[in-house]
Parts: sequence; structure tokens; C-alpha cells
Amino acid sequence: MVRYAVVRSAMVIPVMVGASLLVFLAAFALPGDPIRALGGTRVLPESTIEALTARYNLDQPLPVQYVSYMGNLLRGDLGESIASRRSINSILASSLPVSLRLAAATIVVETIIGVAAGVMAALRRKSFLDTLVLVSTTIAVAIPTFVLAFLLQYLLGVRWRLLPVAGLSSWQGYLLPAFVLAAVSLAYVARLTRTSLVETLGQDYVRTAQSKGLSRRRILVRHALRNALLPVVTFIGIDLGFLIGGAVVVEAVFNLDGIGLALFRAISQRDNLVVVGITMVLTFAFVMVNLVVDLLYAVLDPRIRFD
Amino acid sequence: MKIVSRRLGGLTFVWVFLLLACAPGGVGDDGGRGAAEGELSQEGGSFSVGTLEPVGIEPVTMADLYGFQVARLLFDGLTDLSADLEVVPAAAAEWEASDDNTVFTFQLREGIRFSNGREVTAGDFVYSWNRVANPESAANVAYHGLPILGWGDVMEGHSDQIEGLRAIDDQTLEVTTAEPFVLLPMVLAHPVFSPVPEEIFGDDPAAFSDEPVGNGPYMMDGPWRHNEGISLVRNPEYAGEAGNADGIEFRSYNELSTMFRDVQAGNLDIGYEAPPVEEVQAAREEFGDRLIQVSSGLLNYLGFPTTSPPYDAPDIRRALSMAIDRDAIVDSIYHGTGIPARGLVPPVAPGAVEDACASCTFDPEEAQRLLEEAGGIPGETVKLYYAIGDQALTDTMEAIANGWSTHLGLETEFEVHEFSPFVDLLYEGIDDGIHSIGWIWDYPSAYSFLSPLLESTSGDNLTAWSNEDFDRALREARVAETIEAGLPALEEAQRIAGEEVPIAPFHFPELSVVHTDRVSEVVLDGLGTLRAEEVAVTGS
Repeated sequence: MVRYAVVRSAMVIPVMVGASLLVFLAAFALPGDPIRALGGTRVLPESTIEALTARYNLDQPLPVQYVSYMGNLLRGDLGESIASRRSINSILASSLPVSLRLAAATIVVETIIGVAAGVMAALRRKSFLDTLVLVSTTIAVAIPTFVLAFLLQYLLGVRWRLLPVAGLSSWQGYLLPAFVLAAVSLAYVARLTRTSLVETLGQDYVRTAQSKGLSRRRILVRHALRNALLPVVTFIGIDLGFLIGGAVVVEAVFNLDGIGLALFRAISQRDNLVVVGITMVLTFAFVMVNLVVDLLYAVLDPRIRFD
Repeated sequence: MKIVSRRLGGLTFVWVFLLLACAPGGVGDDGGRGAAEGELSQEGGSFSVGTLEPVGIEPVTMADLYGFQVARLLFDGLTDLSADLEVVPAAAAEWEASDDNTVFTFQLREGIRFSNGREVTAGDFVYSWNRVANPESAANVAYHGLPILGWGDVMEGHSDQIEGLRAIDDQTLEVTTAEPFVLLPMVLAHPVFSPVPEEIFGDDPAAFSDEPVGNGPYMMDGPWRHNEGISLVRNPEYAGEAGNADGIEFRSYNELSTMFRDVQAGNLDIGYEAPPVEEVQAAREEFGDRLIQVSSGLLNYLGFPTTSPPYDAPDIRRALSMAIDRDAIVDSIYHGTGIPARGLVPPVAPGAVEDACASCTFDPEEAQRLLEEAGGIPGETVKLYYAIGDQALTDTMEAIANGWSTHLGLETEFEVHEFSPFVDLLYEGIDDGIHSIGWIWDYPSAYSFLSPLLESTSGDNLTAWSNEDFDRALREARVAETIEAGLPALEEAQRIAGEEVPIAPFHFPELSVVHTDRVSEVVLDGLGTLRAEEVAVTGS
């Protein structure tokens, strides 16, 4: 087991190096010069371009830039943004927590609403309620995120003034962006819960519990739901990964300083080191989650660790 | 596993919309906070202004219109501009120019101080300007100083002291220009020429960029919260006329529409550049005279490669320009925001000749006649290069192409690029087609358009147009005894360029600003500058 754990953990290193190389090459292969773009449509003096090019090491050959970048990375220094001149560490320090908090709020919303809707639909199959869940989740999936975002922002923020228009300064600020982000996923959660629960309720052990005279409520909560929610939990785990880096539209509309928007901005400004830095952090998080999952599987299933 | 693939499908779907949704907006962040409100509840009160996130707010790092709004409150340069764009004294009490307009002697006001209490001396200006010009600072807007003797040498690393800059004593600064330049005091009103205290900047330039110390009417209240906001309070050391409000909170937004919503909801007092063009009509009805629209000093134009056939023939350029219905574009695409351009400089500029460009008036018959006489365009196709911008820009390009197709029978091949690759093309030179681009002035003179865009020696002259009479007129404007005395020469230059149309101006956009009824005296000048020091907080 220890040997497996060590070998599996060591694999993180080549994966990260490979990923960094790919991301680095991809970012720098994009057409467009980040320095020239700083002047807008104004042609910058040659001396300014030279000074800036030297400041960001862009006058070095790409392999040299890569090696010096990796050297700094190992010391925990992600470099400086060309477009804003902020240190990339500080960009991450301010935007990553925003994205994590927003992702957490979204997961809470999609779990509560999704599971509740799924359970209700499963318990009253083919009823009006079931159809309502089916129809409403279809609509939720069909509405583009930005449409829902602009609409709810206008209605709840401007028209009725119930919730903040933008920002996360109070807990109410999380409600709209989290709901909009959750809208698509909660449809899947609801349907997954319904299907899985319907299947579970037909299992032998549930019927055994019924014949023992257990209350409907106790069967549902203690026996059926615990098993039925396993695939739902797996889905939510995967969704969390997407939510952290992929909430660009919602971050833009609700004016949140999140990592997805920071990445989007960096790509359009050709702020290459920011692109590489953010992608590396997201990749690292993804690789680490996978590592933990694999190690857990090994703990649970002896066949894996002996192979 | 099925779910994962479905989810990925959904994500692609979202990404497609994301590109559509994010295209028009800028980028910057977080707002909606009422943080500073209430904290500064003395008599002057405080108010909030929404902008996009600035690049920088001190001389070395500043680069955009948003940083400009903040920097001008934090710093006082030698000169300033009044609301009607006159050059007025600021840190300098007075100045005089030598007879040939090459040596300018500035006398500093007594008792001006940085917000840390230290007196500002002429030596501070010498230090600060050298710092901006120094290649190690790599200041984005260092080019502003190029008219000063030896500034360019420092930028290029040939020298470490600007030759034409000398502190005669603590109160007297002498600036020498490379050639006669009557506009220098106006150029110096830009915040890039602000003094910074060496003892604070020198310790940690990065920290200074986030919390600059200056000599302006306001000072930082804590460091810049990036993508969130910048809080300013009154500078107690300021000797000049104090601002009306005790505190000003700048908040950063990503999307102009979000900024507009926050003003509508009453969470934000002033939306700078809100509403977006699509919502101007609705804003007029909702806000009435609390919607302010002023010239932003921006010119949108088509540039012709004047040395490549067929665009080397002035009649071809005139024909293409005449087939554009500028009024229709401004009315239907920009909802009446801005002015259809028939001259080369915005009408708000002193000495602007509003109808300098005769062929900027819509006249399809004449356009057709000119095109035929000039022999037409080979292949009956023109290429039109532009950078992806907002929907209004795309619509405008299509309207222009429609005009060429309907009235001249010409096909338009669009060359649309992302901004950064588009800029690369400008550097390399576009000689097989027309480029659409904008230009914003640095200081309120027609010279700030004419010289960079069309003088034959200018690096920004993308049309390669060269005209001796035009160059001579600009030289006359530079060496004139006073700014006013140079105006006739600038007017002549506009007429020459208007006749030859190396560029076809089509739109002078306006900047829209909305504000709540909590604030009054919201004034913007012709540079699009919010005169934040004059804003009064009237509501609670």
C-alpha cells in the first residue's frame, strides 16, 4: 500500500511538468503581442516596447523563458501581470477565494433545491408534481446563463430591490449568482435524484423494511435516500471542479472578482503568464483531487494496490 | 458517466454564449459595496463613482481614462485644465516662456505639500519626470514627455538625466523643449507629469502603485482594493481649493450594464460610462437631466493606405467617404449618442473646423461619379480591417459596407481580428485595405489629433500620408507666440487634410454618465473628465 501511494503520488510531478509545458506553449502560441496591445491603438515608442519586453523576459528564447518561469514557480513566485502589473500571486490570492466561496454557495443551492425536487418527483411519480419538476428543470437547462443572470439581476436587484445588484459584500449577495450558476446543474441533480431514488425504492431491502412496519419517513431518510444519493454526490463533486474556473458569465454580470473572469481577461489581453499561472493552479487542484480519490479507492479496494 | 458527457455539452453551450455576452463589456470587478458610505459622515459627505478597473493610478503605471480620473485627484501637476479646457495654474503659480517658445520657467506656489506633510520642491518634479522617462519604469504613457529636450534620450537609455529639465531653486523649474512648442503648458496638465515623493516611492515602487502619495486635493484611504475599489479622502495638507465631498469611493466594474443597474438600484451614485449604448434611450427617459453626455475627445475614422493603389487617388478616398451615411449610423446604431463627423477634430476642440471634410457629407451620386472618373477599384472589392469590439462597432462596419455596396457597387471583405493581433497588424502596416480605428486626444487641442495621426514624421501616422503644406501648418502652430495665435494654422491643417481625406472620420462618440439624485453638480469637461472635486452630496 505504501509503495502504491508513493508511486501514485510521484506521478503528480511529471503530470504537472507536462501540463505546465503544454499550457505555456499554448499561451505563447496565440497570435498577438501583449506589449504592443498595452498602447491601445497608439503606436508605442520603440524604447518603451524594448523596456517592457525586457521587463517580462519576452526578449529571451521561449525555452529560456520557460525554465526561468519554472524556477520562479518552484520558489512560489508566479510572476507579474503585463496588463495590470500586479503580482500574479496577489491576483490569485484575491480571486481564488471569491470563486471558492461562490462555488460552495452554488453547491449548497443546487443540492438543496435539486435533491428536494428530485425526492418529491420520485415519491409522486407521474403526478402533476413530477411533471412540474420535469418541465421546470428542462426550462432551467434551456435558458442561457447570461439571460437568466441579466433577467434576475434586473427584476430582483433593480425593479423590486430585494437583493444586491452586484458584489458579495453581504450574504444576500451570494444568492443571485449562486442560483443562476446552480440553475443548470440543479436540473441534473433533480433528475438524477429522482431516477436513483425510484430505483432504490424498488429494491428488496426497502420492501423488507416496509414489511417490518417501519414508517415511510424513516425508510426514505435512513435507508433509501442514503443509497440513492451516491451518484448525486459524485456528480456534485465533478460539478465543483467546473464551477471554480467556469463561472465567467456570472462573475462578469454580478461583478465578482473570480478566477474564471481573471483567466478570461488574461486570455483576451494576451497576459500569458497570468493565463499560465491560473491554469496551473486549477490543474494542480484537479490533479490533487484525483490523487486523493485514487488513494481512497486503493484503501477501499485491495485489488488496486496489489496490481 | 453519461451525466459527465452531458454536462460537458452544457458547458460548451455556455461558453458560446459567454463569448457573445462578454464581447461588448470591458473587464475589471466587484462592486455593490456600500463600504465607505457612512464612515465619512462629516459635512461634505461621500459619494461613489463606478468605472472599469483602471490599469494604474500614478504617473508610471497609469494608462487609461479611468486611472486618469483618480490620478488627477491624487496629484497636482504644474498646470491643470479648467472645465472649459483652458490651461490654469496648479502647483505652479505662474510661468513664462522664452520668445521662441523653447524655454519655460515655472514658479511653484508657496507651501504646497505632499499628503505626508513634506513640502513639494522643483527637485521633486525633476525626480518624478526622470522616473517616468527611465526605461526601467517602462511607463506606458512616457511618450507624453517627448517634446521635452532629452526626454527621448532617457527613454532610449542613452542618458540618465533629462537634459531639458532643471531645478533652478526649490521654487523654480526650467523646462526646455527640443523645438519651439507653444502647447507645452497644456501638455503638462496630464497627471503623468505629477510630482511624487522620492522617499516614499523609492522604498517600494510596487507598494506605491497601490497606495500612491501625492499633492492633490484627495489622498488614498488605504491601499487600492484591486477589482473592487479605491477609496479617497480629503488631503488635510492640501493648500488649494478643497473638493466638495469629504470622501470619494471609486468602484471597479466588469460590465457597463452592471454599473448602470447599480445606479438604477441606487447603490452607486455616479456611473462613469454607464449606460451602455443599447440602453441610452431608456436611460434618457428614466434619468432625464441626470444623464449627462459629453464629448469624450474620441474620433472614430477609416484610414486609407495612401501610398498604395487604388487608395493613393484622393478621389477614390473621397468617393468611399461620401458613400457613408454618417447621420443614419449615429441615429440608428448609436441612438443619437455622439456627433456624425464632418471634420477631423471633435467640435469641442478650440479651433475645430466642423465641416473641414467636404467629402464627409453623404452624397451617393457624387460618390459614384468620383469613383467612375478615378477609374474604379480593381476587382470591385475593398478590404476593411477592424478589431472585435462591441455590437455597435460591428453594426457600423456593416452599415458602411452596405453603403459601398448599394451606392458604389463594391463588395467589402471584412478582416476582423481580436484586439491584440489587430494591433500587430497596425505595427506591420496595412497596405491592402482600409482600417477602422479610434483616436483619443491627450490634451484639448486640435494638434493632439492632427500631429500624431497625419504629420509625416509621426509614428502613429498609419496612412503613410505626407503633405508638405500640412506639415508646415503644424510647424506654424507649434512656434506661434500663444496657443490662440496658433489656431489659424491648425484650422488650415484641418482644411488640407479634409480636402485630401487620408482618413475619413465618421463618428465623434460621446461618453454617457448617469447619477442618482443623492449627488448634484456632476460636471464633465470636454476631455471626458469627471470633475469629481466639484460634486456635491445633497441626499442622504
